Amino acid sequence: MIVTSPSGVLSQQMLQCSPETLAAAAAGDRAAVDAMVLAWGPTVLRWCARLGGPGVDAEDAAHDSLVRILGKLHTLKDPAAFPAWLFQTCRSVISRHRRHAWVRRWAGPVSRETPDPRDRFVESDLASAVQAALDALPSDLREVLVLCDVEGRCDPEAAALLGIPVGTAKSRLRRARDLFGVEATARGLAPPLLAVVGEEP
Amino acid sequence: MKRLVALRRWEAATEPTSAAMERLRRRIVGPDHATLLQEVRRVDDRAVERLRQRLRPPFRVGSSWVKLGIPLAVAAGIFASLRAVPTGHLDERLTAMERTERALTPAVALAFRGSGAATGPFASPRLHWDVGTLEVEVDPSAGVNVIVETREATVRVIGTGFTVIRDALGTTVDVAHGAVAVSCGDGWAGTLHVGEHHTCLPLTAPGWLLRVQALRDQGANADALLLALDRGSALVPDSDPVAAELVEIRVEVLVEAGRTSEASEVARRYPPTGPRASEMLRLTNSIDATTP
Repeated sequence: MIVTSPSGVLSQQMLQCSPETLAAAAAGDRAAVDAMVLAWGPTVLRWCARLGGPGVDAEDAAHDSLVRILGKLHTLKDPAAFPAWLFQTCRSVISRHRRHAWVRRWAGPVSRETPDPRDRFVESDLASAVQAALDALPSDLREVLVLCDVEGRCDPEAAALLGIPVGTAKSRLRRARDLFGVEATARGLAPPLLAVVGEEP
Repeated sequence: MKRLVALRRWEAATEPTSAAMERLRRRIVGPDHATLLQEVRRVDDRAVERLRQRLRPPFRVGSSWVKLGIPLAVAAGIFASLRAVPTGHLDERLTAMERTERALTPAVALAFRGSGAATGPFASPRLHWDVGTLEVEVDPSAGVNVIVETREATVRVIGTGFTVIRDALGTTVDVAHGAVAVSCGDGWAGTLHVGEHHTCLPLTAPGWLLRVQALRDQGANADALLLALDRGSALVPDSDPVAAELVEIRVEVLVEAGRTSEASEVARRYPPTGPRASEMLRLTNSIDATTP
């Protein structure tokens, strides 16, 4: 369910995590912090996994993002801007983790001796090719593609999260799809997988 | 809403698991952190002020470390005076088909589903865990030294919360808060902190056979399965029935991965008098029939 307010786009998560909850979390109320993490933690984890790529530990990046958000929550003036503020904080944290990904490649993963098969980031030809194609995109195109074509957000919601006009988001999405198609084809994805289709009934 | 087909399918592959989400949640909302803050707030402000005035240079009273350290020291003193090391002795079985919560001692709380035993004095209980999930919470102020042992691992804790799961994959230790020292039978040893987990791998060929079967059920890729098969095969002679079972699974994994020439090679090397020779012959014929 999408609810539109005069100040922007609110998702179902904002309904679960009200401005009062955000204010209480900013004051250190444990129940409010827990509610905020339950409402937004999965989204943050998804963004870190999908935008970070294989070189980034998604849980580490998500933890850093949420800790940074909680530390600066008291500076948020407009609760309606929380989703966009959260996304941009994640983006900044992910960027830093990507820059330091070479350390993880050299030092190895923390506390996992082999890829844990209970994680559902399953190795498959499709997943590997898609991840590699996404990684090859510039960050601004990758972000809009993940928000729209992976997470199914509409143009206005993606634009609100990215902090750009709706028209800019649409043109970036077109360029992102074209470039993704080139990169994915080079990595063996079949043309039917690169079609743009509506939701199945 | 129109989307690229490949990305819509990739969405499911990158959805976070509930386990990953719970680890993230524990890293952010650690109960010991919140409890500590509540205790700090209850400290008498006048006592803090008296301590501040007694502090001499070079300790800078205005520093944030001292501001935090003074109430922490007072809170620790209050806790120490209120708590005493518990007395008593344990010797009981722990068995439950459904998740069951109970206090093992005044300082140790358990939630478990599975089977094991608790022995030793209250001050240093030993939990021998056979199978299932065991969650342990230890009061950090009680000074109790808890040890959890399974076939694959020894876990030592002083004041923390963690989960031990023993199943077909091995023994997995997951830390909710605090830290635990883990020693695995295969030589791995280390300290796990909040949000970290480690799986101590099986030590016997049958244990590795179970792990391989569990990994296949979970859809693990061929490389992970072959690595596990190598580990198990190295623990028994070729004549052992478990070794034969591992070879049969290796052939199946190679066939499923499209590596039919390797699968045929493995199957043909199996001794014709071995306990599963008929299964190997069946697999070899199956490979030959499908290979152009």
